[in-house]
Amino acid sequence: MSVPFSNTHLRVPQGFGTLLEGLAREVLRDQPEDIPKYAAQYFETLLKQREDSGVDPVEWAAKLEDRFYNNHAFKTTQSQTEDELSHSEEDLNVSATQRNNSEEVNFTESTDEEEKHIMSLERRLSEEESFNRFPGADLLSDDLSETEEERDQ
Amino acid sequence: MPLPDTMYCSQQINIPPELPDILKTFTKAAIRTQPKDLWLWSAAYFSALSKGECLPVKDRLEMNVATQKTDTGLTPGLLKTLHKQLSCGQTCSKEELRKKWKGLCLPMDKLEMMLELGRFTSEFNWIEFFALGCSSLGGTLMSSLKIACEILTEDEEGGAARIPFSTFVKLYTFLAHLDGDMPQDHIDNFLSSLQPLVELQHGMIKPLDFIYREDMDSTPSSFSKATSRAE
Repeated sequence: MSVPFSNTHLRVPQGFGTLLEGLAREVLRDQPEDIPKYAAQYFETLLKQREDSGVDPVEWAAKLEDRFYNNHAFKTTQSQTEDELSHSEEDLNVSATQRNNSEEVNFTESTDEEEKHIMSLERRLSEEESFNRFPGADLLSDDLSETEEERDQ
Repeated sequence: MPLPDTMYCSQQINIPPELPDILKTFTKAAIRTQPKDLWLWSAAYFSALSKGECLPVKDRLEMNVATQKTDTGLTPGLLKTLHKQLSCGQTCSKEELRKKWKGLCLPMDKLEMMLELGRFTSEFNWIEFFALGCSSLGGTLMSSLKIACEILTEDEEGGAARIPFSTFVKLYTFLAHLDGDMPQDHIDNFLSSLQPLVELQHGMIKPLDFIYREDMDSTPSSFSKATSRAE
């Protein structure tokens, strides 16, 4: 993941963290024999998906990273607290912390939504892949979950 | 090792021993190359890696990156990478070049423009396209040749940048012919005037040998001339 306060030139490209994470996860999930070949296929599929959908995952991931590091949520609270300088200091502190809390909640909520979006995207991808490769895998896991349920009963 | 059917904890995940190294090299390559289109480049990277081809990676980070607005998007570092990827055989196919060009996130329309400019056939000498690439980087014929020397040389960076004279002749004649209005005896004269120096240097030539030799810095290079003509 890129660290904004590091060397200005020697920096990890924007959105690279997300890309690497996705690749590593899929490699660990599918345990391919030939990792470079698998990775090449992985990126080919994603490129095709990008061409079809018109959504650039890199741009999107970069926005997500930007949001994570340059949290604009706190800027608004600062300007608001400046307006309320007339209040006593105690009041100010209390209100500021409260507002910060509420802002944080909002922020995490919105990222949750976005994460769900990624999850659904990834699930679609992994479903396609697993469907292509292990047609029996789903049945197997279904069987297992059934037995677990029976055990519970 | 196949993974167990039920996952209870992260210790059950088998991490392939070669994976960390692959990811590390990949990350370092990404930092050094700073690709414009990360996904396109990653696909090209792993495709080359799986086929055992030369990777689309710059030798080192480049500070001044081409804007792709007025230029071809090519930089010396990118041209060097292309050279490493494509110079293995004597000839190079257009298809191969298109693929590698795209993998480095360079604009396709600029490539077509260059291919047309050099009147390349579907199979061509790589060194000729390389010469045209240098020409698009350097403003004049001599500075294009200087860039070519700096990319092709096996000397250390900042060194004399010597290249074999035979390569130099190929580069020079191609660019001079592309220029169109340079008479043949002028080309021959220039090359033969360099001959004694080259023999002293065991068949090698360096930019210092030719850069002040001819008062040709005022002549714009074939590339810029042809582009302006096209406009």
